[in-house]
Amino acid sequence: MGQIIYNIFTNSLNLGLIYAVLGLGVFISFRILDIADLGTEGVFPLGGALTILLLTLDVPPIFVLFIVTIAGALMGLITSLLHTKLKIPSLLAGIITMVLCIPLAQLFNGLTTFSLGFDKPGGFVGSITLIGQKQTFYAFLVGFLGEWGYILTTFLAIIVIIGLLYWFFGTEIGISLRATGHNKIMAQAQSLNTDRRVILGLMLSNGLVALSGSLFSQFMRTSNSTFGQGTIVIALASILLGEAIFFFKNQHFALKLTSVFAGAFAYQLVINIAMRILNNNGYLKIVQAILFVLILCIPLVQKKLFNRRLKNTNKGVESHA
Amino acid sequence: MKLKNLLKSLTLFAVLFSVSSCDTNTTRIGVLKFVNVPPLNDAYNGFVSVLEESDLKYKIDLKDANAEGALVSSSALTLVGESDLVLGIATPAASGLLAAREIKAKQIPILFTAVTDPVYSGLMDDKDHPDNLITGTSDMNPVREQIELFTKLGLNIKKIGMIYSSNETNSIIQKDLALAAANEFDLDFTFKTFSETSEISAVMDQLIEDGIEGLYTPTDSTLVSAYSAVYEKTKVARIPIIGGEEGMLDQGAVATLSINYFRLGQLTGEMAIDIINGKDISEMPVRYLDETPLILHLEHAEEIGLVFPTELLQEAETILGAEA
Amino acid sequence: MLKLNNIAKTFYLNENIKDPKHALKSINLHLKEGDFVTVIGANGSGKSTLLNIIAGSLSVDEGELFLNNIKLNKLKNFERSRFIGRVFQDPKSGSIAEMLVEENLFLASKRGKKTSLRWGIRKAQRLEFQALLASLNLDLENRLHDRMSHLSGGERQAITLLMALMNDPLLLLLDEHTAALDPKTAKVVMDLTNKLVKENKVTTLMVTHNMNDAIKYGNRLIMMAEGEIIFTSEGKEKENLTIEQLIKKFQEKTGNDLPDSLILNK
Repeated sequence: MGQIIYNIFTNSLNLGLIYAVLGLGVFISFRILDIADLGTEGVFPLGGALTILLLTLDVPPIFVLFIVTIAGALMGLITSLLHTKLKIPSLLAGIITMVLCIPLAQLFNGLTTFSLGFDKPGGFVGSITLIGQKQTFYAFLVGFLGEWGYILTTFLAIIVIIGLLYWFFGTEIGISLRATGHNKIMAQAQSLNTDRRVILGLMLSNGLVALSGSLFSQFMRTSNSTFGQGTIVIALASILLGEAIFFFKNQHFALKLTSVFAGAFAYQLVINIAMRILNNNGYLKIVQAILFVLILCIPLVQKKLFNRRLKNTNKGVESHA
Repeated sequence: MKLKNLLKSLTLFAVLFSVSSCDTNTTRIGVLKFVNVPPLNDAYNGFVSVLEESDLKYKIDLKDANAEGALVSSSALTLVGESDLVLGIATPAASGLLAAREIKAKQIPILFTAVTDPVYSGLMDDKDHPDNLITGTSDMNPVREQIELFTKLGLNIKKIGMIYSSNETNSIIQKDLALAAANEFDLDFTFKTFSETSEISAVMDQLIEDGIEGLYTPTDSTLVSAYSAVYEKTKVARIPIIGGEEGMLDQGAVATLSINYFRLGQLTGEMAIDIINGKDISEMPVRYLDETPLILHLEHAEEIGLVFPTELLQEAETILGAEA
Repeated sequence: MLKLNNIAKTFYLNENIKDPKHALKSINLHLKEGDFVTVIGANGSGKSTLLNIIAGSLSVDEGELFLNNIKLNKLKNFERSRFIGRVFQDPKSGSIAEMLVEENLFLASKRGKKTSLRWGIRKAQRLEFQALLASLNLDLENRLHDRMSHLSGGERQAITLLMALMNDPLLLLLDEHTAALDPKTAKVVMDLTNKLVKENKVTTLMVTHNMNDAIKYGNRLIMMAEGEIIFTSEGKEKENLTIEQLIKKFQEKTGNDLPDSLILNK
């Protein structure tokens, strides 16, 4: 059944690319700044809701992407201000933003409903579909390439994003941002305003998360305030799996960024396959949890194997000495 | 590298596993159920029952999205890729399948069920002339006839109210229909919304202060989850509730015209068989239940001092809450 | 150069007002430009607190700090870092393990300056860094592209020292920076410290556990106990100090014996 393999491959690639943007955003907050930002689960659907609203209002898709990224950055601003100025622990700050974002997303949905001629503004609507005639960002390439148009579009977007991120983190500001994440005290000893850098980093991170939510909503042609559920797990699993795949080659920054995409794709593959073996998606949750633990264990296993190989080669050297 | 090998063997395993019947005469039907709740389960069972009784060779792939957007997306892509016909149970599932079909650029028919208003939900432009290889059955409750019931209770009701959750788009549709029906039957109509269930009590107080003599509760899952808060107030104020669906009668409503989801599923199954046998979808408008039987609840009526007129009692198909 | 007027700092353990720990009680200290002051005292004497309030990691409850007539009280620690270079006790604190040596040096070179969107480290700068590293005579000039974590503790402290001295700071703070090193490496770093401080003529405040070092290096010595400066010595008098004298002074001033925590030997 070649068709099944083909489907598994293309579906995983499609979703993997979209979730790679998400992964890159979470990579910035989680790996570079060393902050666990739970706002992701709110910012993702917020990006989607804003997208569907703007597309319904006939805003050109490329502008929509920019506006949504900025909106996400604003959410990142909120989280980081809560954390740096009000000294709220980052975990809670993220949760506050998430709680803020969901009704905000529903408000946007309500505005979309209103602009379509139903009901009055100010209502909260859980989910809304983009009506058929409105074109998304994907429309451009999809015309010629069908399904692969989606894949190529997101792929190009990823290339641009990775390029920009690689450049950014090589600049003076970028290096100072990385320093802040690694060792706040040392950064301050080098007269870096760490608060400002945390703010910048979280704005960047959440901007990407919102962008990924936008792509997802355009892909599904729907905005749903529950779309954010589980995105943290997907993002973290993608990052960790990517690091596992690129073990040892993980040092160069460009490779680190690419590994996030590889991890996102691999994770979607695994989930997709698990979904086919377990038809009832109820058990899928349990399997996902187990898979997550397995992914977390991979670095341990790799280290053990490496040490064993090291021991064996040393033994070999000694016996030949 | 080990990981890549692992992935390869997993893929192979999955492929072998899913190769159960490669029979080209078997119709592959993919079903995406949005969430595991009784009405949707009943619809599915009704659907399958009709297929079983026919002499169609088919294979069903059922996926449950557990109310999660991400799962809807990946399940829909999978199902569309590997089915000859797909069924979406509930609006989010149907939307997901529609989006997936466009992505896959695969022209397979989509059926939906348990969708209240397919046009409003963006699934199609015209209920009566499906033009995008998508059609199905709607669980829209007969709002007009349900409002009409207020005039048949023998209470000379002049003013009715309606409460619903602002999160549910289906409720907004029902509100518009209720308003139109109230105008038709010469009833004063007022409505209030809430977004958190904790607000229900306060909202009910406002409605009662407004002087409503009857309350209409639409099919609204958020409302249903906190129905007792509504009933507490109407019981004290001795106001009858006409419910949008049968489940509400257990919780305090006195009457409804009910939707039988099993039957709705069966209807959908019939449509599926027609399509598989070659019928043109554009000639298959969205179908509704032809029968919505009247159901009354005696005990709740007694609690507020209501005695059903005999004609109504005779019309009723089922009477609940009667002592043995 | 550095003026501390009536500095007091109290910690309240367990948030209990009745349970104060007076870490610093009315400290008055004046460093002239070019002074190299060693600070010695037992654990809890307040010497680390002293360094921290100068650096800005802790705020003062009373008193004023001035650095070259700049009032430091309201400045945050990263703002003070513009003028103050610091080497910590833990070799891991003063530099970033996961980043490259050249990136660490780069960060130090930007201390006090604005960071922009220009691309990071350029060729000319690399050559500068190489020259700097070469001056240490520790064979580090070819290790610009190594991760900091690959260097030994002593090498990291040496580089941190170099970093702290970049951009001509007004003040150099050394917080028991050899305490975590083995004796041999500690001596190398201490000699290096002495050399660099002399070459750069930078005002230095060095907290140390080691009484020998305290006597041997610097032109002034301060002994602290229980939040107060109990003894100072400078110039010729300091040069001729012996450890026995210090011990006796300590007993005189506090009525207690010198705690064993002070290392008496090299």
